[in-house]
Amino acid sequence: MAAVKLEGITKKYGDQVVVKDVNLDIENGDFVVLVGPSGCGKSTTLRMIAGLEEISGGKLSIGDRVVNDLSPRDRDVAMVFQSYALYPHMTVADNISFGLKLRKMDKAEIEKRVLDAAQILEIKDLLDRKPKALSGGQRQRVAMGRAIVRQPEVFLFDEPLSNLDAKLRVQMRAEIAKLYQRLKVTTIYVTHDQVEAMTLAKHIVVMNKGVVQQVGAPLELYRAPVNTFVATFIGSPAMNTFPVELVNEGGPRIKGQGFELPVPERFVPHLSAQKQLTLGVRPEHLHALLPGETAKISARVDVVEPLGFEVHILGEAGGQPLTAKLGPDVPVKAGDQIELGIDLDHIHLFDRATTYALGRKAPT
Amino acid sequence: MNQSTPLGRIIKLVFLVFFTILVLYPVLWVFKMALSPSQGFDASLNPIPSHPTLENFRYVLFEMPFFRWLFNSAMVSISATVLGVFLACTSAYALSRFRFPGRATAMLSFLVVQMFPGVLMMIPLYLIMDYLGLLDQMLGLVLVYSTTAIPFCVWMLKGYFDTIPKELEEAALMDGASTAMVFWKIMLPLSLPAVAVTALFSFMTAWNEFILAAVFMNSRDHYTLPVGLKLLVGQFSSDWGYFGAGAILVSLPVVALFFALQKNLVGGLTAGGVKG
Repeated sequence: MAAVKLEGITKKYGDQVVVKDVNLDIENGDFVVLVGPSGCGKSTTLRMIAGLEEISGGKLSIGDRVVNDLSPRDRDVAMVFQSYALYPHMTVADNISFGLKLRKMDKAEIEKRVLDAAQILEIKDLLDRKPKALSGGQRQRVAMGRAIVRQPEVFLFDEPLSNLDAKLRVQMRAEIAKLYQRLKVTTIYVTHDQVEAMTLAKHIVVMNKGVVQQVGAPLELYRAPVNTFVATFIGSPAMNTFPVELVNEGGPRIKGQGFELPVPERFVPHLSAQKQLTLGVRPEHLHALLPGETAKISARVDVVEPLGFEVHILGEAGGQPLTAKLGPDVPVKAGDQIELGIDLDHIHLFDRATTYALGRKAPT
Repeated sequence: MNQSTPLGRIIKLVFLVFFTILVLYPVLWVFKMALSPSQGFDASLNPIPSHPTLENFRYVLFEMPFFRWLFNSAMVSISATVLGVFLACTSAYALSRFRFPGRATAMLSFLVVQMFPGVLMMIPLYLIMDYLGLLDQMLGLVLVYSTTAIPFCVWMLKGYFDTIPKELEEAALMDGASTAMVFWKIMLPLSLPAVAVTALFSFMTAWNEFILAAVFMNSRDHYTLPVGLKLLVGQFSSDWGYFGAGAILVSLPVVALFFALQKNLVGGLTAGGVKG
C-alpha cells in the first residue's frame, strides 16, 4: 500500500494538451474515482500513473519514490482494463499467475495466492478454462484476480464495468466495494458513470477537458458543487439550471423567465456587481406546491416517469428543460401545467460568466 | 442469402466438378507419367497408366543423388524459413506497434519490391554473391531466399499483429513483462496462425525455387531438388517417367507440411481475450 501524489501532471500530444496540471494527493488506502465525460483526460491520467503513457510534465510519486521514468513493471501497480485483456491462449489459472511467474516467485506460493484469489472472487471452478469459455462477469473476476494476486501497492481500474449489462454492473460494483473493504489497498478508479463514482469513492475527482474541476467526498460534491459543470455532472437526474438576473427590489432577488425568488441569506455576503447568474435546482429539491408557498416555478409537463417509489417529471420551465422528482402520489399527466415549490435551502447560484458558484473563486 | 433451388444446386455442382477435373487433370497426368514404364511422352487423353510400375521411383530415389539433393533442399528451405520468418516477425512487430521516422517508407518499399519479378534481381544478386564468395554455397541461397520472402511475410504478419488488441500487451506490461517478453509470450503465441501461413509460404517458395538455385549452384553435389530434376529433361531427350516420379517426390514434403499446419491456418486463437 502506498500514497500516490500527482504534482502538475500534464500530458501533451504535439501541441494538444489533453491533461493539464493535475495536482492530487491520494492517501494511502484511499479509494479515488476519476470521473468525467469521455475525452476529459481521466483515462490518460490513469495510464500515466500506470506507466503506459509517458508523462509530458510534472512529478508523479508512488510511496516515496518518484516514478515518472520507471516502467510499469517497476511501479508495483496492478490494473484492470475495460476490455479485461485476458490472455486468450492461457487458462484462467495461468492468466492469474502470469505476473507472479514473471517475478520468479516460488511455485507453492504462486499456487497458494492463485487459490486465495480464486476463493475470494468465487472462480475456483473456472481455473482450468480458457477466457473464451467465460461469461463477461467471470472474465471481469479473472481480471480482478490477476490484479489482486500481485498484492500491489496500488490498484488501477479503467472503466472496469462498462462492458457489463446493467444488472451485472450493479452486482460487480458491490463486489469491487467488498474487495476494497477487505484489502484496503490504495485504489484509483476511472469511470464516466457518476453513480459508480458516488457509490464507490471515498474521494471523487471530477475532470473536464483535461482539467480537474473539483476534488472531494461524494456528498461534498453533491451538496456544494464548485461550478455548473460539476453541479450538472454529479447527481441523477442532473441538476436543472436557469439563467437569472440579480435585482434589488426591497432586498436582493433573482428573476428568471416567469419566476422570481428571494436570494437566501447565505448568498448575500457573496453577491457582487455581477448581475448575470445561473440558478441551479436539483430535481429532488422541487416538490408539489404547498399552500401559501411563494418560492415556486410554473412548469409544463411533457413526460411522466412513474418509478413506483417516486415520479420523475420531464418538462419545461422558464424556457429551460426541467426535471423534477415528486412523491409517488402526485397526480400529474403529460400536458399538464403545474406549479412546483422550490426548496430554497438547497438552491445553488453560479456566476454565469465564470460558471463558478458564488463565493468560489474561479481559477485563473 | 437466398436458398438455392434444386436446379441451382445441380448447376453449381456441375460447375464445381468441371473445374475440379480441370485442375486435377494435369496432376493425374504427372502420376500417369510417373507410373508408366516408358520414358516417352504419351499423348493419349486417358490419365490411367496401362502397365503401372514403380520402376521410375526406384530409379530416381536410388540411381540418382536424390537424397543428397533432398538434404540440400531441406537445409536451405528450413534455414531460409526460420531466418526469414524470425526477421519478419520482429520487423512486423516494430512496424505494427512503434511509431518511428521512416516507418511509412519502410512499409512502402516492402510493397514496391514485391512488384518486380524475382528474375530481375538475378544479375545483381549474382554479383553480390560472387563478391561475398557465397556462390555455390548453401548459405548464399539461404540468405537470398530469406530476404526475398521477408517483404511479403512482413506485410502478412503486420496485418495480423494489428488485429491483436493493444490492451493484451499493456496487461502483460502491467504484470511485469518486458517488451521482449511481451513479444515472446503474448504476441507470438497469439499470432501462430499468421506465423504458420508465412512460414509455409517461405518454405514453399524456397523449396520450389529453380532459377536462382540453377544459376548460383554449380556443383552437382550442391544442387537442390528442382535443379536436380532439371537434369532429367535434356535438350535432345527427356526422361518423362523419371521426371514425373521426381516431381511427385519433391511435392510430397510441401503437401505434408500443409496438412501439418492446417490446424494453425484456421484463425480464432484470439477469441475471448477481450470483449468483442
